[in-house]
Amino acid sequence: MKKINLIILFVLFKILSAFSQSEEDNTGFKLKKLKFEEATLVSSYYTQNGNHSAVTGGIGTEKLNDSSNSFDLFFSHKDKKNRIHKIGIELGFDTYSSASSNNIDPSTRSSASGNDQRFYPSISWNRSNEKTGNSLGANISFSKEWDYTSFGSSINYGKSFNKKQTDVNVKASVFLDQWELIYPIELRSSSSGQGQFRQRNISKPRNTFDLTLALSHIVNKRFQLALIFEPNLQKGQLSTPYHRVYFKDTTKVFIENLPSTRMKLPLGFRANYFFGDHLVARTFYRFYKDDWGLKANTMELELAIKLSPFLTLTPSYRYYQQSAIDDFAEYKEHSIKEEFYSSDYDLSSFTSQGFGLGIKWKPLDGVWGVKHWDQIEMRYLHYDRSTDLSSDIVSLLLNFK
Amino acid sequence: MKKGIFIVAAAMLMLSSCATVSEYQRMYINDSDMELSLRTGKKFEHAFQLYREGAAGATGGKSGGGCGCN
Repeated sequence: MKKINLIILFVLFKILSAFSQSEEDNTGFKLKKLKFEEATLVSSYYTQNGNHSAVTGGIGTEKLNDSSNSFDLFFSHKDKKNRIHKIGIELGFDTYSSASSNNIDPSTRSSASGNDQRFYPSISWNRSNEKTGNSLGANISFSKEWDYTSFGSSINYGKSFNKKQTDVNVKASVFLDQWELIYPIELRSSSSGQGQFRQRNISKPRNTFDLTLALSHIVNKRFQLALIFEPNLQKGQLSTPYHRVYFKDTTKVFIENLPSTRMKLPLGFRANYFFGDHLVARTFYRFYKDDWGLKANTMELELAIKLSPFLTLTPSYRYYQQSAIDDFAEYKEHSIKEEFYSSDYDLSSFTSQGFGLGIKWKPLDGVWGVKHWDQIEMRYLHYDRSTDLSSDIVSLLLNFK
Repeated sequence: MKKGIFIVAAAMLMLSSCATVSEYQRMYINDSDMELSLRTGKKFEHAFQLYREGAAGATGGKSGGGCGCN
C-alpha cells in the first residue's frame, strides 16, 4: 500500500510540474497577439408596398417590412515577415414580415411563410505584404432562412504595382445552396394537386459561381477610378416555387418555370473626385446583361459634403433601368404552350429612382466624448419603381475603434 | 455590349495617365469618402436592390447567391 501511495504521489507531482512556469522560457515560442482593429454595427429598417406580387401571379399586395442587422469585428496581426493578417467576423440577422408571402397559404393568418428570420455568419481572412504589394484572402459563410440554406466560400488575390497607384484584384466565389420547395397551398393537396406539386419536403440545389476582376487606379492627387467585371453563373433551382402564374388559355394555376441556368455579365465603373477641401463626388455606372434576355443600366451619383472635418452630409441619386427577361408576361398574359413563364415584376421592364440622404459624424475625441466610439452615420433612401412599387429604408451605422 | 466596350476604352485612356502620386500626396485619395467600394452604411440598401431588381454584381459588394434573391 505504501508503494502505491508513493507512485500516486509521484504521478501527481509530475502532473503539477507540467503546469509550473520556469524562470526562463528558452523555447522561443511566443503567443500570437491579435490586435482589435474595429467593430461596426449596421442596422436598417425597410418597408415597401406595391400591387404586383409574384406570389399571387403578378397582382396583389407587395407590402413587406424588414429589419436587418449586421455586426462586424476586425482583428489584425503582424507576422515575422511583416505581413499583416486581418481577420473579420460578421454576424448578420434579418427578420421580415410579408403580406404577399402570407398568400402562399392564405387560409392561415400570420403563417410561418408570412414571417421569417435569416441568420448569416461569416469569417474572412486577408494577408497583405506592404513590401511586395501582394495580398491573399479567403472567406467562408453560412446563411439560413425558413426555406433556404447556403454555404459560401471565396478566395481572392490582389497585387499593387505602378508605385502602388494601380491595384488588380481577382476573387472567385461559390455558393452551394439548398432551396426547400414550398408550393402554393392549392397545388400541395394530394387530391387536387397537379403532378409533381403533390410532393412535399423536397429541396433542390441552387449553386452560384462568381468571378470578380477589379482594376483600380489613382489618376492624380484628387481622382481615382475602378473598373469591375463580374461574370456570374447560377445553376439549379432558379424558379421561385411559390410564385404563381395564371394563363390566358387555361384556368389552371401553375408555378413559375424559368431556365435552370443563368449567365450574368455585369461591368461596373466607379470614379471619385475630391473638389477643393469640402466636396467629394462619387459616381457609379454599371451595364448588365444576362442570357435570360435582361439588360440593365445603373447610374448613381453621391456627394460627400464636408460641413466640417468631422461632419459630412451625403445626398445621393440613383437611376436604374432594365428590360424584361424573355419569359416575363403580366397576369393572364402567358400561354400554356410556352416552355418558360414568370409573372415576377422584379424581372419585368421598369425604371426606378432612389433619392437618399445621409449624415456622418466622426469627432476627434469620440462620439459624445466616448473614446472608442469613432463614428455614427444615419442614412435614408426613398425608392420608386415604375411598376407602382415604392419603398423606404433607414440605416444606422456605429463604428468603434 | 457597345456601352461596355466604351467604358473599357474610357478606362484604358484614363489609366494611361503618367502622373505619379507619392504616398505623402495622397491625403485626398486616402479620405474615407474616396473609397472605390460600396459604403458600409449602404449595405442593406444594396441588399434590397438585389431582391427587387434583375441586375446584380460589379458593385464591389454582394452579387447574389447565398440568398433567395436575384
